[in-house]
Formats: sequence, structure tokens, C-alpha cells
Amino acid sequence: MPDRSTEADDPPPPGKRNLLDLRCRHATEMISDSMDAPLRPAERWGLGLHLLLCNSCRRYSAQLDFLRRAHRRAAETESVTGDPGPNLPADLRRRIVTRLEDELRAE
Amino acid sequence: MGSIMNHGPDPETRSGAAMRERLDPESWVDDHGDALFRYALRRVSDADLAADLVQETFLAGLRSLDRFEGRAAGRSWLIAILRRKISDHYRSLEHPAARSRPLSEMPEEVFDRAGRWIRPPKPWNDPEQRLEAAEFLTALDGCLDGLPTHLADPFILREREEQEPATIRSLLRLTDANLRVRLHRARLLLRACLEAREFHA
Repeated sequence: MPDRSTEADDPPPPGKRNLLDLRCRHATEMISDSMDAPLRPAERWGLGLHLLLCNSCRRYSAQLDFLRRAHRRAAETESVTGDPGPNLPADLRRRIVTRLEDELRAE
Repeated sequence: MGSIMNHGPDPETRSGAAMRERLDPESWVDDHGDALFRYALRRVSDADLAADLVQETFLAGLRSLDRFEGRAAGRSWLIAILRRKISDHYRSLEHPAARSRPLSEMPEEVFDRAGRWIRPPKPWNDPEQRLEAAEFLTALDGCLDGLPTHLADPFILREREEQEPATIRSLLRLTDANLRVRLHRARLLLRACLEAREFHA
């Protein structure tokens, strides 16, 4: 997949969005943004209005919330330290540390 | 790694000595080595090969992170790299366990010219119940592994490791707009992948 994160794909700055004529493309950007930082009041209002009227985006938003919970659940599984199984053997551990130190020294 | 990973440290401001102080391989391997090793060993069942894959994982992690902040990236991110290494290993053997990367086959366009959904999200049947199922988490990881790394890296740091956006920008050296676009794109793709695999297969 080509890297599409070019200028043309960037969301417009919040001030340039016409919140009364919010399309799903921009509404989903704002849904995503709202998961990482609070929206400004005007954006929140515009998105709220869109979600009131748009079934698909409301569903999208709920599914992203569910996905966030699913990833957190997966992370809990990954971070379990009492996992059964052998530890990294000391000689292999030493080999890895040495290799990383070489790599850092090479820079 | 993807295009975002090509920024080497600036030798003017970041000396090798300073880097070595910030990222200590001993404690990094202490923190994650055992867990990564066990994870690999369950999938390749050969201790030497598992250790090789763990070493490659740490090296790849080292190369793609800003060294100054590298130790902030944790377990989930390293495990995602390890999963790609394991999958590459099987693919190199043409082993039947090698998986295709489904997301690269997905249509690029999600919205039409007027900004409306081309394929609107479908309702999901009882998602909460699936959260407990191991197969569901496997499908979730499968979709994650299908993302291109320039989208997967920030997404994993954000959603699995719950890092703050400011930390991720610094870890991966992204601008605010760039990070927002990548997270948004990753969310669109993952949601669609999971819908196709789990809810409307």
C-alpha cells in the first residue's frame, strides 16, 4: 500500500471545516481526533450534530470504541509476566545484549 | 521499515555517547527478553531460532526508534515487530503457516468524491461477547499485522500501549498532522478488516 499521508490527505485545520456541512469523510477524521485529544467546542458541536443525523458514522464511532477496548484487552494478554514457559537462556541473552551494544557503538 | 523510519539521528546534536546513556540494552532486554522469547518459542519451537528472532526484533526496534525516547516503547510494540519476523520466517520457508497480508488488497478509497461512505459500516453482532475469545484476539492481531508499518507503529503505541500522542510524535518523529492522519487511516483499515474477518465472514 503506498504511503498516502501526503499533504493532500491531511485533514484540514479545524477552523477550515464547515461544520454545518460536515461530510462523513471529515466526521470520521474528527471521531479519530477525539480519541486522542479533546475537540474544540465548535468541532464537538458539529460532530455531535452529524452523529445525530448519520447512522453510519454513529456506528463507526461505537465500533472504534469497541476496537480500543479490544486492543487494551490484547495488550493485557501480551504483558502477562507469569506466562508459562522458559526464560531466555543466559548465553542467548548475553549474545543479544552484546549485539545491541555493538549496534549502538557503530553509530 | 516504512518511509517514516529513515531519519537517522542528527550527529550535530545527538552524540553516540548520549544515546548509549539513554538506551541501555541490558535493562531493555531484561524488561522484555523473556516475554518475547516465550512468545517466539510457542510459534517456532526451536530455542536458537526463537532467540534469533528476538534479537532481530530488538535490532529492528532499536533502528526505528528515536534512541532518546526508545525505552518508552514497550511490550506490545516489540511483540508486533516479532510477529512480523515470525511471519517473514515462515514465508521464507514457504511454510503453509505463512499468511497473506490482507489489508494491502483492500480498496484504497473509503469515501466517494462527495465525502460519503462507499461501504458504510455494517452492524456487528454481539461484539462484547467476542472480547473473551482467543480466536477474536488472533483475528485482531492478524488485521494489525496486515497494516503497513508506517500505520501500524503509531497505532500500536497509541491503542495497545496507551502512549500519549506527544510521546508518539517524539518516538517516531512525526508532526501532529502526520500522526493524526496515520491514526485515522489505521482505524479505518482495521475496522474494515475486522468487519470482513470476524463479523461478516
